[in-house]
Amino acid sequence: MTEKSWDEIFNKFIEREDDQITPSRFFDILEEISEAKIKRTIELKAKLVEGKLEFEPTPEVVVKGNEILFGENRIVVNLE
Amino acid sequence: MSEIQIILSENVTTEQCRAVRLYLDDVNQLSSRDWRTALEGFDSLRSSVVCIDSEKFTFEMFYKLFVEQRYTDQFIQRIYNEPNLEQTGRRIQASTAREILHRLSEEGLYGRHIANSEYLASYLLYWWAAFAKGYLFELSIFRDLESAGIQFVAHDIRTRRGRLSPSDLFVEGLAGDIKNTTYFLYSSRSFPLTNDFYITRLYDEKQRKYLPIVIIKPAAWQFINGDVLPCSFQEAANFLPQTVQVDFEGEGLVVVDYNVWKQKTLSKQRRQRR
Repeated sequence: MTEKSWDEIFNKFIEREDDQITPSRFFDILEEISEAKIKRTIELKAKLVEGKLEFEPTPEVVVKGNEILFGENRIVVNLE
Repeated sequence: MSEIQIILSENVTTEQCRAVRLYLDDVNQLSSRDWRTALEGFDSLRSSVVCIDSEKFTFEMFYKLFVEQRYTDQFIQRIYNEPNLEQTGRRIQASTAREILHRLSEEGLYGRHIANSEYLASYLLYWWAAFAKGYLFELSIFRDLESAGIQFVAHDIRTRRGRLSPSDLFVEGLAGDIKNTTYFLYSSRSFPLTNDFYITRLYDEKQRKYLPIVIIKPAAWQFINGDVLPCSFQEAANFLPQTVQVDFEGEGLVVVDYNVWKQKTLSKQRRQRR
């Protein structure tokens, strides 16, 4: 089969209606976009020490007891 | 005869070129990953360069000169009071797109003889379609909100300055944007979603028609007094038209049927008027 020429592609595109994006396709694309923006996943391990959560040190992110220091944020994780 | 050269930005990948071509050719063939890559491609093409003799223009600058300055005000003027918005608007959009392609060809900026000219044409035609289809949808929503009796303040789409405002409308102090589906997806990939809500639409294959939806930040939805069903992206399509909440880039996004949103907004406005 011969490949379509750009002229054919453009002529078809020009006449095309608005893209018909179904709900399932829409959410799939949104998920794809959302995941692609997350550049990397950092896994943290924690244990319970005297009823309090304690993160294991990791070179990828600064942790201190039950706190994660992330940019200008301090995330404190408490158990209920 | 001018000397013309088209140089693709180093950000443009072979994969993006393939996805852009596939998007323009047959949108139904795109996987979700292809979709993302095509949207990335249109973004990356922006900084590619058209050299005409000693002058250089990025694709973005060239769009402004070759398309925006010539066609956008005129298009809005022609559709603004047009009763048969969809049909007439689509006809003008398509005839303008044909003219853009013809002019590119006439001026030696598109054709087999000039390398990468297909990507310049792709860029211009994509953004022209995004502009025209986007404003046709936006105008149809403005008209619908007016006829429903919803009070809102809209930006003036008849001026470039008005069109460049960060929000298209304000309802109850909430900032909103109206985007056709493709451009909503493009924006959600390229920019932070800064408005309180976005009106867009999805295509219902069974009913063969577009169903408008509102994507709204949870705090804004609470303000309108709505319930949500938190769910994953995979579940969301099955739960619609129930109001669902998905997690997008660590932030909640509520997806609500447009008519439900309208009804709740109208009720709130009526209660406030009493």
